[in-house]
Amino acid sequence: MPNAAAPSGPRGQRGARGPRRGGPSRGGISKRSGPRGIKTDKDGDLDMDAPVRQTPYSRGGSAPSSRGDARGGRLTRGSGSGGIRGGTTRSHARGSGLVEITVLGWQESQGNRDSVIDFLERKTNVRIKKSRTQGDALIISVPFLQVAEIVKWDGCRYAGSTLSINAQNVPKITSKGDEDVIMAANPRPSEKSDTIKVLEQVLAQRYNSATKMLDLSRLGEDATLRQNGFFDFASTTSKMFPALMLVADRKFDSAAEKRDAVVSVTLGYNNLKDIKVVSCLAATFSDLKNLSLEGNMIPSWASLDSWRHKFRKLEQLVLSGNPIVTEDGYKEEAMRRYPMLQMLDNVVLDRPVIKIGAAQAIPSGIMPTATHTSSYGSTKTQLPLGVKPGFNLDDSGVGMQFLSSFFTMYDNNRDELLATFYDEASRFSVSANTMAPRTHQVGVSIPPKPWEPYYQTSRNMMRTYAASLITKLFIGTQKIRDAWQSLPRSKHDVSDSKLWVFDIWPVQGLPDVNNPSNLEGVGGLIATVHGEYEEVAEGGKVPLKRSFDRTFTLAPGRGAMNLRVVNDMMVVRAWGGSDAWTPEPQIFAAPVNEEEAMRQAKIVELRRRTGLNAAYAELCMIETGWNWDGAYAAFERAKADNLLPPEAFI
Amino acid sequence: MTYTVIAAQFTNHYYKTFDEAREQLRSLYRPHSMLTFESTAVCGEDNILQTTHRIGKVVHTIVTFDAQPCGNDGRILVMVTGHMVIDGSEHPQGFSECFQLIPENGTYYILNDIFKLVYPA
Repeated sequence: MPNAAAPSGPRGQRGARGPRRGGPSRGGISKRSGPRGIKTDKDGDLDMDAPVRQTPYSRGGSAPSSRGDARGGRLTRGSGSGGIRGGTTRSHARGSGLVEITVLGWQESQGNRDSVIDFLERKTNVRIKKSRTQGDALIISVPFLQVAEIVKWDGCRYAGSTLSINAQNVPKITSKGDEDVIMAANPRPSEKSDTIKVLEQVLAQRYNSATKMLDLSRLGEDATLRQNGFFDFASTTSKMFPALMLVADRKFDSAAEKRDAVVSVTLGYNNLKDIKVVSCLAATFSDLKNLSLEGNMIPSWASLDSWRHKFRKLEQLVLSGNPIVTEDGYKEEAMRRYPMLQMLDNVVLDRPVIKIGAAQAIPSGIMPTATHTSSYGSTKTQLPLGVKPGFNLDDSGVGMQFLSSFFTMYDNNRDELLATFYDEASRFSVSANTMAPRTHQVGVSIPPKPWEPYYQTSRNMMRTYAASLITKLFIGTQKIRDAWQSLPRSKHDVSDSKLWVFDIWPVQGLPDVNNPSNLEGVGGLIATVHGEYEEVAEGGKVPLKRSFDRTFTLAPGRGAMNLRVVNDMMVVRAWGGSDAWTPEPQIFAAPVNEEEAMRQAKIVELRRRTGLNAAYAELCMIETGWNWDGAYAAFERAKADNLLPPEAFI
Repeated sequence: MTYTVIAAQFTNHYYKTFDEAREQLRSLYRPHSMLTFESTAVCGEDNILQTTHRIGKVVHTIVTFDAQPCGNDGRILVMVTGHMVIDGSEHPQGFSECFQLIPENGTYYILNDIFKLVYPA
């Protein structure tokens, strides 16, 4: 069963995503006020009181000027040793996910190759996977996302020499950049290491290891920050938070460690009108599950736009006490932006979750074979091709969310559905496939003209003459309403995932209703759905079932759901059951390397979204274990940290 | 030519070529074209051709097709249903296939091709 094994398929996640009742299991957000009592971390999850980690700028021997010298020296030697900077890195790195880093200056030291590796491993907590020497250079290989950890130590002193450390294809994060952030926040520029200490102290006081919560509420009242003059100048007030995040980030050696240690953050009661000052929270704690902005002054979702695509794992959000809660469609927008969200303002969201498509293999015996008997009599026809469930690359959850509300609304209130998702440019057409074989439906007598209700609207271009092709494409809500009124009323069973299969793909170039001058168009989704419905029967008759295929293209819109249907094409056919996408033993003999195919598709999609070249997109995927969300988040982090060189985008 | 004519020509050409000279489908795809064949997704002409070549000899019968304009630049969404006889099997298999066609220098190529077997026929 390929899909069950794919870790990143949204279907795979759905089982674990049901609305959780009865509050969060980890580190819930609740209103806290007053000073925080927790000073030290006793269980060692996050040692906020540890001595300041030695960093290049906290030691005397590595002032910026000496680093500058070291870098100059490296360049000279580098070019002299011939070919170190050659193009081997990329191809070498592609297979293993490792990036090569050149270390120079160690030969002038009193140490040797092994001791310098040992030194770097100790300092950085990064395991150096491979190493070799080439001329004067020691070339070490480390995972892509750990390059920054190593490169940070460029210019450090080692056994009587200065090390020059440089990644070949990935430029280093300069510690100069970090330093700038810290210095900018520093009210007393002469005492930079004190700034770090003060911020570390603040973090220690505000971190609760039991609840894994970082309480950053009421920062303006923080005695430690006040005493140290952080709020003395308007210019440093706004810089404090980025510096605080930077210091917090340094406490962790890996994203996993950070994710485990900080599950919740509250930024309550900070008089925030927008999130400009605190936006870097999303980069530092991208995997947060719980976030509170309670009691601020945030007026609208627009002012939270810079977090629109962040916090993809957010399960709980608190915005109570902000004007935003009165905005039209407030709750819907929260659900739309954060697909994993389960609680908003301490209320469990009633998110309509239907599980479309078989996520797991269905044990044989559960299938009601009597009603799935095909028209040819055998219970399961041996078919030349094995059949499989759908493919889904809808990582945002928007497509799923649309589908989960669409069919219920289509059954119950087509006008509301039109008002929610359709506009004057939406297109709908339907075709009746009258040739599809019919599967026996117990107790149903097929009417003599079973397709009559559909003939008037059917646009099947195999049969329709040119003149009616125009009239049978329904454009705009009014015409679509008329068309839908002519079609039989329907009842889709959205509770039974076995009956459904869908594919969702991102697409580009859809009309941009929010900006008609944008001729390039906007990105959206193609969703194809296969399923069945019952025609609502009169007077106690057993309802007639139909199978259908329906394709939508969806683009950002203006309505409450901010989503519009660009195209809606439907095919109705005789009911055929759902055997076709019920996974069966593989009889498709030729080996299909599905894993590789899925990987290729992910690389392509990551490239499309990020502009990365193939090698870097693959690296990013390898580094994150081919986890789609993880890879995209890693890219955003790397981009935010300025980790990606220009050639990554060529 | 209107999109309906293009869609009709495309549909006829695609399935005729698939059944008679599958290798020539290559010219309809580009390196960034994507095929979703059941739950497998592949990208690029080579991978797409490889995937279609794994299916045996096929005779398609088109029962419905429909097309809508989609997007600003003349893109067309085409949806086809029908059945296919594979390797002379006595049981045709129903399919539903959706294409997004992108105009390029006076012709069209397939950007998305989403194929699904829909019923045992």
